[in-house]
Amino acid sequence: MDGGLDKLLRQGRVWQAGRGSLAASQAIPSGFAALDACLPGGGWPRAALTELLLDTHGRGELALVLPALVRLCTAAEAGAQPRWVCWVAPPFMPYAPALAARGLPPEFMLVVHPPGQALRGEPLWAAEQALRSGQCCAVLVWADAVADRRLRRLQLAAEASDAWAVLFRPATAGRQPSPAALRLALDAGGVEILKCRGARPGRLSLPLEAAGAGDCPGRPG
Amino acid sequence: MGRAPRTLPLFPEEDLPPPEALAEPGPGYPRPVVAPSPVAAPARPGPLWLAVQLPALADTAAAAARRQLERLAARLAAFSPRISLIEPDGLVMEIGASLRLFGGHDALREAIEARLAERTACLGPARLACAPTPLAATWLARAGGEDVLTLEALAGPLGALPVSVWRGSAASLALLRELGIRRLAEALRLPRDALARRCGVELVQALDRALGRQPDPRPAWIPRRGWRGTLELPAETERHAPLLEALAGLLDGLAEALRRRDAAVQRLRLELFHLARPATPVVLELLQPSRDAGHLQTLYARRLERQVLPAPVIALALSAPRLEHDVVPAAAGLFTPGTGTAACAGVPQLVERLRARLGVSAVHGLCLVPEHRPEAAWQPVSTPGQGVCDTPLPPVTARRPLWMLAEPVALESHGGHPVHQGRLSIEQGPERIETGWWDGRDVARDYYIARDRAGVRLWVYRERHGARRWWLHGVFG
Repeated sequence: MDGGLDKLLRQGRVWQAGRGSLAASQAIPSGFAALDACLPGGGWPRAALTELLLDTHGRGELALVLPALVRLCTAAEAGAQPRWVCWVAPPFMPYAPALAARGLPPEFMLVVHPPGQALRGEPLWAAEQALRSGQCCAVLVWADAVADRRLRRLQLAAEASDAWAVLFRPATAGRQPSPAALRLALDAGGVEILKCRGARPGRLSLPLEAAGAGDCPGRPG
Repeated sequence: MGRAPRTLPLFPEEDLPPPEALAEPGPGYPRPVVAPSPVAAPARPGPLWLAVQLPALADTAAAAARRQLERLAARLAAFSPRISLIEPDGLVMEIGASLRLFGGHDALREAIEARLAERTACLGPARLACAPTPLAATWLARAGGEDVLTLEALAGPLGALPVSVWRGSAASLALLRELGIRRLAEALRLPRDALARRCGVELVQALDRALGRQPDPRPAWIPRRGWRGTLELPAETERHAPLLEALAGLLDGLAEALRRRDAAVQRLRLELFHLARPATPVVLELLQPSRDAGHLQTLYARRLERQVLPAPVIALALSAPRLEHDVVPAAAGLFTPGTGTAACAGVPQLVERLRARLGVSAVHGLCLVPEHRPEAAWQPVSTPGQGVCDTPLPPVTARRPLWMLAEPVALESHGGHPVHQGRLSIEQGPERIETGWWDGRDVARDYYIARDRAGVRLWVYRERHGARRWWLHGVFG
């Protein structure tokens, strides 16, 4: 009986109240020590949905997720994991030279622009397909209005996969309840943790500008 | 031996026993060119030809008969890679090389007969005969003779056949009849030159070929390049379920044909026919050739969801204009996708699924281009994962934004300062980019990093010539 319980706990699927019990292997270090300290497991939750609420595009959201994406891609390069990053309905075009300069290989980017965006939930459908294919280490999706049912489906698809799913939404969506494992709001004042499984909400400021300006930390040329 | 050892002979063939058989090279058909002496290796079975004759086809129109024969050849292609049609009413196929695979002559013949019996009811009974040469097999089949398996035993049974199995000119046949020659044996007994002078050289040549004294090359039947299947619906419909059901039948037929020909398809065209209206084409392009009916069905299901039908559909036609050979279809199973080196195997399927619903242009990958112009330094690629740039890239030393606008947006300016939701404050710059004079899209710009009222950092530039306008080009994410 004990063995069965241990197994269940080791899988990291059971949250024990009061203990950050998401196993460390499930978390992706974010590259920001202040943020890692606030998140259970010390990083972004893998196999779960992360929601980022933005007051405006270009607030530093890419700088926030890039270190983790680079880490996922390099881990995939070393090991035998899927290494594609799927961008669904991004507001602008991810700029390949800048990504490459930050250490993200452009040839493993998959960009999806659903025609007539936000109609019939196409972005979320595409994100769900990418998650369920098991080929992506991360799926980034931008959407405005999302039905609860769609959100729930996305969260389930993320749980079924081994990938990191990130949903970018306008700040006004913060009023809508969400099944995401982690909800962050990003504004001029910094990062606010609105909801986090296994940790407390809080507010912190991150040095996003220094990281986001397109410098190439540790990467010559 | 006081002399130097013998060096390599100039003509090594002289030292070998004479070749037993010279093989005609056939497509995908390995056989030794020279059979070694029987002591060295057990004698290989020589070629053995099986002829199929369908007397009913002789009365059919030539085009229809040809079509029937091609259909028959396609059905029999499972038993032999070398089939040639003998119009109008028969075909021959080489089965010598297939004997071991199918368990010997008797078993193979039974299997072929069973296969023929499946669909040839409307064509009347088929006559089969085996012989070591294609012509002898055809003649035996025409006359309803017994199978002959070796070249040595051929002369007797062949001689017993009536002369009419040779389809020579009417005059030659009449002459033979007048001479009292009814059987081939009687013709064989005559002096060759006299026979050739009287009846034409064709008969002598035909006899030589039938007996294996002369080579008898045959044009190989080549399966048609494409595939096409049509289906009429029992009732016209606008709903998807019956359309998909009908399509599943067509796709099964396609998959079967592909399996038989060891091929796959990359481009499929479905036509939906309407009454008194042009047909609606639905084209499916795959990243990777596939022969999996289930996968194709899923893609078409997605694709048809988006398709607007102008009228009810009365019939469907599915065609694959080109079949791809020499492809290894992505194997499902063994290594589950996502592990090992097969990690990328599932990406084309994902891209196809997305494109089936969102359109081809909606999905692309990224690649770098060695260019100084910011907008030309990258390109979308239609096959994600390809187009990795081998040429060395110019070192990126300057700051580049993570977000680029598809097209630069013109900004207003107030007193020389750019305005975008309020006046922008310049933080850094300029970085001058002036290049591309050689291809007519030359740029001369000063790039600045600016910050807007909300605190978002933007990448803007000012033209160096002309109106010296400000443009917004990127956003630092």
